[in-house]
Amino acid sequence: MNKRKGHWAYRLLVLIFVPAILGIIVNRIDRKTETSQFWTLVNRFLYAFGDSQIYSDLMQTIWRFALGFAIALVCAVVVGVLMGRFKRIENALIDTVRLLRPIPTAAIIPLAMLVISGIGNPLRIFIIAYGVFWPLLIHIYQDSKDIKQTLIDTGRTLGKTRVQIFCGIELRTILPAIMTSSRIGLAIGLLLGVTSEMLVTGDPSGIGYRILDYERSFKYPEMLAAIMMLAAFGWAIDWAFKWIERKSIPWYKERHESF
Amino acid sequence: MTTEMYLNIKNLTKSHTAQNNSLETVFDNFSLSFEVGKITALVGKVGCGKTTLLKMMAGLYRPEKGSIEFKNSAQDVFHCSAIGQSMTEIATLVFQEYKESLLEWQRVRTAINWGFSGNETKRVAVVEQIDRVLEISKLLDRFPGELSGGQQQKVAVARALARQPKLLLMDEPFGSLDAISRYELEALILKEWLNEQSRTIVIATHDTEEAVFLAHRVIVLGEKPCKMKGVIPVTRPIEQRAEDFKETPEFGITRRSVRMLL
Repeated sequence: MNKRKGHWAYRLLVLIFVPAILGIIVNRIDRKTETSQFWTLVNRFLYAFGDSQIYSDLMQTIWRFALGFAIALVCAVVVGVLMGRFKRIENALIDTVRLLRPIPTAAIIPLAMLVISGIGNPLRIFIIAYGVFWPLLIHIYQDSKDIKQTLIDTGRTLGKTRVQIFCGIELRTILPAIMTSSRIGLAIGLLLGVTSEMLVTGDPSGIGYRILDYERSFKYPEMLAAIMMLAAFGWAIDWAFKWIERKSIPWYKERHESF
Repeated sequence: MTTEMYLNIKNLTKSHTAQNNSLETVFDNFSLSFEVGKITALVGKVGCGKTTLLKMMAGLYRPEKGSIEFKNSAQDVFHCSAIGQSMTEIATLVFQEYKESLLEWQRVRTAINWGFSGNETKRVAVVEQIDRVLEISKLLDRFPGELSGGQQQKVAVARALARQPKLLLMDEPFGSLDAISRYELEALILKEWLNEQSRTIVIATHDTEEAVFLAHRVIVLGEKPCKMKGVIPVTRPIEQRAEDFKETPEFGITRRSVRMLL
């Protein structure tokens, strides 16, 4: 399973090398200000991880992300399955989907600010949910539409009820689609979470806002620390998704080997 | 066999949309009766309507006119007609596309248990018996994707048997198998019927050899629209059919008469 284990030394090197380059870049930028001592910067970078502010900001980002993601998932499964299984609903919605899906979610943020009253959380959660919704919807809709009649008939010929067929066959068939698109949605959701925290002015909080705030008050090492926190969170949640994927769709072999 | 039991197809009409969007009549006022508790083979050329007929007998398709009726015991009559069907309650079809019909997330064990209907104590006995007949105990923990074609087909048959259907329908069951696993599965079908002799089995195939080897009666079907060309009984009892049966003159003659009708 874990083919890359042998390269741990190489991977560690990269892990140290990349932040070092980032450090040097920060150092060069920072020449404009009074502090130019490299080690002072490293010190501040490390100290930033001990600051409780950064953790409470991260928690803010995480729960907004989680809520937005959950809303998107529920909506996408409902709409996607309905569109995939019922021709009439598909016909009614398909043009709307084709029109709305290509709009980059960042572009609708100003519109969302107008429509949803600009105070903090509901708006940010809406932005995350909106962005995550589309990749989930497309995958679920496609896979749900592609369910073979043979599969449904198998349930019928083994004497299963409509409900048993829906839960036991139709929903199970789209599980890989949900898992795959969830990992795509993950990246989008995190991106939009951070962007919305930077753009939405009401109730300023969250790691996105903190990064911007540090930048504006010339706290570059702290800013870098916040970015690293975000990276750690992104990595952790991606790992968690892969774990869930492995547990929930063990028959789906080719997916596990990929990155 | 009491005379009360029957499996009849009466005045069946069914058409489907052909590739050039014209309506093609597959069955026009088609009637046929089967023997309950026997194995019947339906032989016909590819595209003569065997699959459509089996799906209607399984209650998966509805005919436009006419009906299929199955009386298996004193009280119950199961049917499939334009108005409705109750055949799914008693009939199980093994699909030609057996690979597609296996649920890829079900391990073999789960698939067989999923097919089963009835109480728990009976389940263990039934699964054990299927296991003994089909010899799949080594495969129980695998996913369908990890099985060979022949093994997948065995699992599809095992799952259908687990339901203990009174009417077992098989559509080209061994069409894509190599000669060895094919013979093996044919022998297993016979063994299974000997275990449960009240079961009615209908096998659709285009292979005359397979039809004669497996069935009590071979029904030859013509095409467009589907009509019955003839019925040929195979006299040798099921328990005396082994591989050498295929080399007997009796087998050759029966097979030739099927082929001449075809």
